Amino acid sequence: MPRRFHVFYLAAVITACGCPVTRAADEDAKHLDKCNSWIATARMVAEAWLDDELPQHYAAATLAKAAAKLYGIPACGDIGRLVSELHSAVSASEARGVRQALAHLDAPTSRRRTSK
Amino acid sequence: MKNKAVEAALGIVTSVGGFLEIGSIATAAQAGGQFGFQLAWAVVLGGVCVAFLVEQSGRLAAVSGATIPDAIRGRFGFNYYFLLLLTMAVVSLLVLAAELGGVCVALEFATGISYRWWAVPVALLAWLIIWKGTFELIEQGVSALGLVTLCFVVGAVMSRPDWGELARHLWPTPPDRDSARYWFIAVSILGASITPYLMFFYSSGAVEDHWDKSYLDANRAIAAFGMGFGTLISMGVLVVAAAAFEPRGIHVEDYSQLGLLLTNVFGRWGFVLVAASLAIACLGAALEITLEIAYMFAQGLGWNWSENQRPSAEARFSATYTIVIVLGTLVLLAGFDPFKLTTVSMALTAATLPVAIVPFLVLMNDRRYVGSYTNGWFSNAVVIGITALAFVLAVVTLPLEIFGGG
Repeated sequence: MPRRFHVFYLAAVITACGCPVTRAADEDAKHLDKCNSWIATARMVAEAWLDDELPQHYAAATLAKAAAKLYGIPACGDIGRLVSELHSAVSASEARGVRQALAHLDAPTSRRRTSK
Repeated sequence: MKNKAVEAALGIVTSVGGFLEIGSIATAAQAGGQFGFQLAWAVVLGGVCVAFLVEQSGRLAAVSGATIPDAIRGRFGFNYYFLLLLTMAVVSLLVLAAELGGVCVALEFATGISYRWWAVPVALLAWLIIWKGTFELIEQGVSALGLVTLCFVVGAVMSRPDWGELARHLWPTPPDRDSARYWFIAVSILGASITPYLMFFYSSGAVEDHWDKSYLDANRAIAAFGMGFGTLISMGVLVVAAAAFEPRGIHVEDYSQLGLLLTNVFGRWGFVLVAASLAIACLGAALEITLEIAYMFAQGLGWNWSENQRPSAEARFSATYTIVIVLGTLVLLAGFDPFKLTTVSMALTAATLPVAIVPFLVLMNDRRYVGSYTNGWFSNAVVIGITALAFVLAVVTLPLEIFGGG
């Protein structure tokens, strides 16, 4: 009885959500979404910091977190390193370094967009 | 005795200021960031349901003079009450940990010191306010400060949303992508709005303030306008998140991202306003939840209880809220990701709603408790419909979120 209930429950969960068993392609798309989301977060933080809209400690901490998240997603390639550079530049209060890192960040992102 | 109109106005202000808490902020920001205005309907549905429930809680207290726990124990017996107490205590503890986490994150925003270091000082502050403060101080003081959360409504208007598009999504539409995630966020929004602790706290407050039948109109006004404006604030969060995050493809999955919610609109002040809103809203909710758990134990087990008495006059009540704060802090210190803790605890709240709402509805239709003031068919239908929807969605989407579907 409990086993039958488990099977029924699992079937209900899958059917009601209209989501088939997760496929590798779905997983990849999800990872890519996460990757782009953290890149966009890093860019928004850096730009707001350049405009003096965010305190340095918050910008640095959020960029460190974004870098850590990106390192943890294989699909993101070496973007984590670029966001780390952004983090270092913000931590050192180097506006020029932040602009350079942002330019580097833009390059691989636009390449990825083109290749999609 | 205060003028009723003044009390109603005060109650409305209190409800508005106290409406937003970490669950509403986090879930509305997630919804706006990932799905734009598509989940606006869930915010409205949750607001409508909680307005009905709050009105009914106040009516029960004003007519019968009993709090909800008192009445449930009397009507359904101790065994059922014990099940309700356990379920709500566990879920409320998780929500408490999330709220304490929200205050700590706000302090991290303000100081740069990691949120974990703030857990114990924030818990001590919360305990001290309850220990030394009165019900009035907690209800009105923190909630008055909570009016800072109106900045989200101002921010929403200033972000110039497409009002027509927003209006179109006040009615549920199927998601065009990532349906599991869509429904999980929908259920989290409902769980964040329809919180049984709010009803229980409200009914306890009505008894603490000695409400009687003459307060029924004030109660109705507080429920309608207070919850209505509160819902407007949640909608404000969704709209500013949609404006700031959706065009950039930012999916909110961490507290750190919330600091960016208002920078587009208010610049550096936007960051300060988000930090202040988080700190005040979460502290207020943490105080309410702590008291609500202590009320549930005291009212259900027949102890002395009142936030207006000296702690020595109600030792078991005071000991309970002290233990509750310690446990909530331990959950926070256990290392759970506070953002995940928030969204999952909101969905768990939705999943456990029937345990609290169904017996409550029975009470609201029982003339022995509410005399001739029983629920009409419409009130029953609205609450049953929305609660059932939240429960079904929660049971379906929670496993997907916890075990990796989300």
